[in-house]
Amino acid sequence: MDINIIFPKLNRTKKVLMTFVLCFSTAISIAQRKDTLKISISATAGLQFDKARFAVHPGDLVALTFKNADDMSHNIVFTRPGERTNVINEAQALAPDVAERQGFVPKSDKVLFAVQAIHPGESRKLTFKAPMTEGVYPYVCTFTGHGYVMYGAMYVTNGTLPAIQNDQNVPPNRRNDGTHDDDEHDMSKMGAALKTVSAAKFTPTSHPYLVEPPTIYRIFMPDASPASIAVNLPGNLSYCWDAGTSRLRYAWSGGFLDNADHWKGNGRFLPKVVGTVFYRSSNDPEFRVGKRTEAPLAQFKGYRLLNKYPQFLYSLGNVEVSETIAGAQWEGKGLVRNFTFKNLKSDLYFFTDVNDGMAYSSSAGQWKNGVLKLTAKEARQFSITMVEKPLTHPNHDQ
Amino acid sequence: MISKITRFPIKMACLAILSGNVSYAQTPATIKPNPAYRVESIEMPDGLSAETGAINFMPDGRLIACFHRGEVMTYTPATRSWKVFASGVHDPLGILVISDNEILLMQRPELTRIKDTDHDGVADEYLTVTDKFGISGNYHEFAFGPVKDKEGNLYISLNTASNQAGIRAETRGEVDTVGIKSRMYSAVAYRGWVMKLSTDGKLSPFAPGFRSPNGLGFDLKGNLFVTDNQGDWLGSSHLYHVKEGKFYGHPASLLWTKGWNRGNPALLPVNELNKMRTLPAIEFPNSLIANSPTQPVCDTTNGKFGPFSGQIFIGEMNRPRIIRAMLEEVKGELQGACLPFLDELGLRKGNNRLAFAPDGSLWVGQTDHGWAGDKGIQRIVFTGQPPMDILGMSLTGQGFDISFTQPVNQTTADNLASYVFKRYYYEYHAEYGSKQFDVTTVKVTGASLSADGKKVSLSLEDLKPGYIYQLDLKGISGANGLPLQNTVICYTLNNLR
Repeated sequence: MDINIIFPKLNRTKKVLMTFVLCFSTAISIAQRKDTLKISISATAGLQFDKARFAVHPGDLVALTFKNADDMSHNIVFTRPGERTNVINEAQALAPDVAERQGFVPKSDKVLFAVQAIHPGESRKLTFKAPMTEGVYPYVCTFTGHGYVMYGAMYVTNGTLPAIQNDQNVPPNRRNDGTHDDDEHDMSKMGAALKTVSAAKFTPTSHPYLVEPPTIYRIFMPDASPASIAVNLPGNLSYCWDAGTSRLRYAWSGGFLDNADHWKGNGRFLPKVVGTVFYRSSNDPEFRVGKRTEAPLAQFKGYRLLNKYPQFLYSLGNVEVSETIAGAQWEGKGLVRNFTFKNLKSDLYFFTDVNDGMAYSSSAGQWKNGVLKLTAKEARQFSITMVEKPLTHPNHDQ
Repeated sequence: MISKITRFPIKMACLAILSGNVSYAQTPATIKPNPAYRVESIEMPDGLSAETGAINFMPDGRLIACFHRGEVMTYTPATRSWKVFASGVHDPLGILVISDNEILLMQRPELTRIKDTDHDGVADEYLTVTDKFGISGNYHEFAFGPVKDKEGNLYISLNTASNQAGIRAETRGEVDTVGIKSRMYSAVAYRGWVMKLSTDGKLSPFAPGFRSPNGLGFDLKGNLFVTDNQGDWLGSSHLYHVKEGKFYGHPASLLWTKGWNRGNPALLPVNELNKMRTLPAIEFPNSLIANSPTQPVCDTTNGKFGPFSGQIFIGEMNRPRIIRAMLEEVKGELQGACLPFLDELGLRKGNNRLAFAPDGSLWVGQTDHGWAGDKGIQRIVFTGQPPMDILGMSLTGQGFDISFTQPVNQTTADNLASYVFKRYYYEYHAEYGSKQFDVTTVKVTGASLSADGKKVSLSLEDLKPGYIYQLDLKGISGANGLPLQNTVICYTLNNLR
């Protein structure tokens, strides 16, 4: 074993010392790997290490690549067992100029090895020999203020790891499969569950109140503009209304949103749609005013709550529009969209996509080839009902 | 036996790997007791993830606060009760109160007027005030503000995007990806700008050059201040005095200047950008004063909060601290000094938002959303006991005048060794942060204490613009025998008198 390969940057004295350490430790180790173990850990958004824990054998040679994939500075400091908090305190106690110079790593016998603070996008390699004593060796970012949440555990063991659900050595929000917050919820299900357990007793949830539909989130949504609104209706129906384009984008049934990944950290991950999407809008604008070929410019203007249902307000050119959406539960998966149009001087056309899987009907106007035509008077107030067409069995579809 | 043997190599490995001097555990910094202020925690409602995006006070004395998951809640201090005012808003980071039942709220996609029209305590109207700015969908595109000037115009600020993530396939607004490989970029219109919403409802670009401007505020004279965070092009964190049309240093936003035709602004020669930029009124030395400063609020309490009326308090994310800043006009520009105001005392980290209550206490909203910090709301109360602290630092022709809240001990003030000055600068460059350059001790050549013992005039061997002057007053104690609450103060010397 060539000490220069393992610790190329050590000076001669240290190499001699190291060789002593290695020879000495090799003699009593039985399970350590022969090859260098390559491990990569990234600092990620939300003050986390992407690995909440990892395992090595006593005496393993470890080539660690530490990457800063976040947008602020981070370091990684491996401590002796049980010394994470003390090392954080020692780092906090460093004089500011000393802290800057040492990359926020305290010089302490509680520290085993460390990569000094690196800037976003940078990475560093650290080669070390795992301790010979089995145990849990914390790693932590000691940049000012980070240590109490940003840590993980290196298990030096010949055995197996405890279940992560009960692992007190990883941050609380990593104690499921190590990748998710504990507090994730499908809001629609949660409301229902709470009601069945105990309507009177208030249980802490994702919000300081019982979540009951209709529920509104302005939130980043997949497959829509970044200015979107998600609404959950009674009957387990949900829809995405896009304030960027002022229109309904899609609808789904069977749940609402899983916001856990989005709420955790910095919001880089989008909420997940829970359930099955049964409608998506086409790329063409739905409404045309006057001429069938001209799509007026849409401008979102906000919403009012009518019995908790949002009534969206927007303009199409000079025309003022409101839209309130309810579930069409009596007809299966579907929505009833109630519109008012003000200042309309000419006919209004509502275009549908014949392949969108929906059956349309309306309270007023004339349908022809999937296009609804309303006079200005009819359009003052009307509704469009859109319901998923019954599934046709392929064998019968001949 | 085995455990004894195996412990040995660990320690040896540790000694071997640490380069340079090996020193052992240091004693944690001792925090001085501070009888002038106390910190109280506000009990938060069950089920709330109290990642505080904004706090403010309504005319009737209720606190109104918004939180990351979209809740807007009111708190009545007398009854200590919380009530939901609004919900479902998108990452709200600013509240301006209009009345007891109406607010302006800054959320990711827009500025919204939220109103309780039927006076049942719950908002039922969410009207768009302006959404005339782009969103690429990049997670770092926060929106901050609004604050209102004396004429009724509103100001908001728009965060740049982070190259730790891209932009969405579908955006709002025109996209230009020329700068997208730079660390913090502006791919849609007016990211990195302070925007002005005139009383006629028109939103217009006001000043470019910001990276992460998480905090706007006015002083008593109506000057607009915006903080910005250390990162690319910011060697340390800054407080800017913002004026229309000036450029504040982070180049990404220049892309959206009218008629821009020079490609990625971050690739312009540094010298050219340096000449274009307006210097920060205050630079916060990294770690010593701030890692991540937030909202500036002016002390408008006329003494209810202690002796610092008219000065500016600024939150800090990474440690349990509130910062204090003071400004003065030199050669027509504002510049000034900063120092810690309050450390520890039970204060938490993540001090994202500040607001003065009608009773003169300073409320602090905290968040740990994706950054170092804590959750919740606390209030800082002036106990009425005068602090023994630095009051101000003002540039003179020969050096600085340092004023104190109470008389200082004549013997310590006369001793030139009581004052340790050094100066340094942070470099303006594309890389993230900066080390301190040209760190030089500056000799104090004279000190004279005023007759009332509350102001010492210092002469310095040398005054050089373009430097931060850091003064440590460790040797000074009060005439009452008390030590100074804070001994370090840093002056950003842009202009000489």
